[in-house]
Amino acid sequence: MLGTLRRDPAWLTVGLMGIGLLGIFLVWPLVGMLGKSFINTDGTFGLGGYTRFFSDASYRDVLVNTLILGVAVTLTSMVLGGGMAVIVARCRFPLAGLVTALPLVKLVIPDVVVAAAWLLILGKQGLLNTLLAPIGIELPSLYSWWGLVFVMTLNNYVYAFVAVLVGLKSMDRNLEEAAQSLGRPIGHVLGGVTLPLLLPSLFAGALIVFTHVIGSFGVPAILGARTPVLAVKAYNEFVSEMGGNPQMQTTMASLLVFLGAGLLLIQKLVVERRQFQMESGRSPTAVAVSGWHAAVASGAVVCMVALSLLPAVVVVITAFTPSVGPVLRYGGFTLAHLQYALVRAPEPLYNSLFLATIATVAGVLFSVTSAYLIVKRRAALTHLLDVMVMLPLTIAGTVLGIALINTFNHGWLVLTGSWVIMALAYFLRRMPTSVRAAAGPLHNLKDSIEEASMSLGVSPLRSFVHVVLPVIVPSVIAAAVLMWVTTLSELSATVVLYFGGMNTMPIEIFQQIDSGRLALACAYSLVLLVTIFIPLALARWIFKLNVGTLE
Amino acid sequence: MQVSFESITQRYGGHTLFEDLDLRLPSGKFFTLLGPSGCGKTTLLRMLGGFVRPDAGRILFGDADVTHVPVHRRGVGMVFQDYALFPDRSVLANVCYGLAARKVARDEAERRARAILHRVGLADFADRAPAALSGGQRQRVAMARALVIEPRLLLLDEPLSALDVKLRVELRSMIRELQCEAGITTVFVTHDQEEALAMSDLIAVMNRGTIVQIGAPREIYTHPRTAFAADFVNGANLIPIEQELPGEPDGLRRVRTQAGVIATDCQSPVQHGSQLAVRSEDIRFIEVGSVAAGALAGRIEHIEFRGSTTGYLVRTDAGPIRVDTQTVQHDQSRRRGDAVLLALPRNACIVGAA
Repeated sequence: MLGTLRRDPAWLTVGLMGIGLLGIFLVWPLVGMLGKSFINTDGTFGLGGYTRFFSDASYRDVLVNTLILGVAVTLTSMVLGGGMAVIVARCRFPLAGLVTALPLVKLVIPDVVVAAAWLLILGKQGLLNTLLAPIGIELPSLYSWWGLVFVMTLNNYVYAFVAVLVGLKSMDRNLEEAAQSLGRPIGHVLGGVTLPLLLPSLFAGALIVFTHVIGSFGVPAILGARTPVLAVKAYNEFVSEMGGNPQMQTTMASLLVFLGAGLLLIQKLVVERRQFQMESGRSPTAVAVSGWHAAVASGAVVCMVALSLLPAVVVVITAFTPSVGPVLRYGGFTLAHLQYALVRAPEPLYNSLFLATIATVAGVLFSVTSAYLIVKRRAALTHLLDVMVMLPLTIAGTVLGIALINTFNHGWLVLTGSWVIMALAYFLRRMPTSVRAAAGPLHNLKDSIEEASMSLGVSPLRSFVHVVLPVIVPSVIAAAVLMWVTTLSELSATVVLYFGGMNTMPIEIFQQIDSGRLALACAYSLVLLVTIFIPLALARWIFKLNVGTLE
Repeated sequence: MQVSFESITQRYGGHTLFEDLDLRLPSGKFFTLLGPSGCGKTTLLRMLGGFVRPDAGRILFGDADVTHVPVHRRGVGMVFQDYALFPDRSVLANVCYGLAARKVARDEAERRARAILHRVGLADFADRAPAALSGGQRQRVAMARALVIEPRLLLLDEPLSALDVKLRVELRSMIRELQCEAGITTVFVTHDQEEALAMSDLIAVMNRGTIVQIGAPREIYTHPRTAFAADFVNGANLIPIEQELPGEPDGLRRVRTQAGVIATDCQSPVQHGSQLAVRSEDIRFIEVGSVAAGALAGRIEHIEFRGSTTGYLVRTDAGPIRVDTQTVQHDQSRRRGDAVLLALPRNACIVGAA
């Protein structure tokens, strides 16, 4: 149960505090929310919420929409991202190196900014429609299935790309060579040996994309007026039910939790069981391609990177474009929008920076100690901590927001209407990634280093500080930067939790889009992009940390 | 300082590793725990270090019970198999680390650290990073770091097994010298019998959580008490004993085996399951056809040329017998498949089953 913590009261206390913290602020709200979904409008216990959900077509459609969107975007993302990963991993051609920029691009441009940019390009009054109008062509509306799938694919294909690429790179070249040496033609080898070994990575990539899609809020909220999905519908119920019976919002949020739990179960039972340990680190070599093959491959890569970068370009241009109401006058130049975002109403920037900093400091302290306990002090207790720490990864932001607000709006601990609940949500959402980042180098750190320090007369906690911490500091700083920038772009939990006077940057952008002031949205987007990019660039190129890299 | 284990019991899951184990390590001696992996030797060492706490029983340093004293207050020096040098500190800083924890003034700490680095032959490497050293040099730093704090007890956890053969031989004499100079009680864990024999004052042979035999290296080698010790320490041939026969006037005892009647000067009693342990280098080839009591006929199954010695595997009525001979120039006459006759030595040991 306690393992080596039995004779280490200091670390035991830290571990218990961590579990207690997550118990109160994560597990309790989730359990409470699941519980509320079973409380009928008349206050009795029952399945009323679920009965209503599945009998009312307008609710049922929401679930169907969510699943359709999830499957569609997963498929397109896997084709685009997975295909690109295969090409890049197995072929050498000019400009293939451009793909290394993709994870960074994905980090720098938040989903809501991507949505805003594509509205500007493909919307009814968008650039392309304005160009095509004279010749009588009108593009299909972006506020539709294809618009949703298109924008969300661009938002998510990088996850598929990275997952498949990592799988391909960790493949053992010797296996393919062994199969070939046994007399198999290369085609059979790829289908019979490589593909089965790659399946876990394909599946893992698909699961990541699917989880992201069904939980995402920003893009469906902006583009999906006609195709409501669970996360958005739960939010709308939340807004309209405030103060009333929270059964429908908690029912929908719970459905999302069940979906996430189901996916996690699939991950555990199907994917992880089929994970194979590769013997050697010799990854398959890339074959040089030339001629029109290379041209197609280069073209595809350039095209994808350009599509991913385009939102940033559009946002930058639009931020400086004069506007009259919703109409943009491209070709002109003005600083008015930027001045508004930075001087007249800079509070969202300050709020975002403040909240991200608080959440990051707390998150890093928590992540370092939890990662240490999970990796170096294996026991039933720290395993429980491990499970709790990874829990937020399966929970959509909107769901977490609804759970927190339903729990902490009454009783002994009231947090609603304060920044604490927002910082708490950010902490919970981004901390799992930091724990993983800190756990990586700890796995490689030999236990004997710490034991040597203790045997030389230094207490366990001081040994951790003197010997363990210096080794993991680079990864921890990288994780902190990552946590900070991803917190800056958080929208789906914020939208539930924010209150008057506590607008964050993504909320401001979301609201400006909602009220048709796209130029202002772009000005805030530009500020957000710069705020995210600078620390990332510093970390990556000045301090040589692994942030937003493929490794 | 004398170190003792008193009725130690240790369980892992449902499996009992030690049951009521007692062991006394005399003061100032180089004491080796020798055994195969999983025999519990490392667990015993880690109990002394304070990294493992026994489920029951006491650990005494001198007369003081240290069972519940945490690692950092035990005052032991420890050297690890993987060196465990702090990668972000220089060699000098590694050696000073324990002194700083003991609040030794900076100048004094550095003076002592440099002195011991000089002693282990690394005076010129003080400012290097551990990564810039070879394996042997790293292990010397680790020795210096453990010794500089003047520990009451020195624990060596297979410190040589990550090194290549030549370095191992070189380093083991250095470790022995340092230990003698400091006169410090030392516990050494290894699975390498040659290392154990070469370095120790006393060896405890361990198997599955029990101590099979304790003795000086020569005694362990020449008079193993159990089949396990005979097999593990010197890889002896084991021939099951069927029956003890009446003694003869020459004073030697006679035992009957499948290989016939064998004479031995060993005085150990014959019990059920006793075997005769015959070291491979004590067996000689004798001319086929010669008449000798206790000679064993067989056929050569395998020949292994190793340089200074040549090993033979001979199939006999008593099972396969290993024979090692000194390689001599003209010694190429025997071939695989040849019928040979083996003369067994008088010094074969009667060993118990366990």
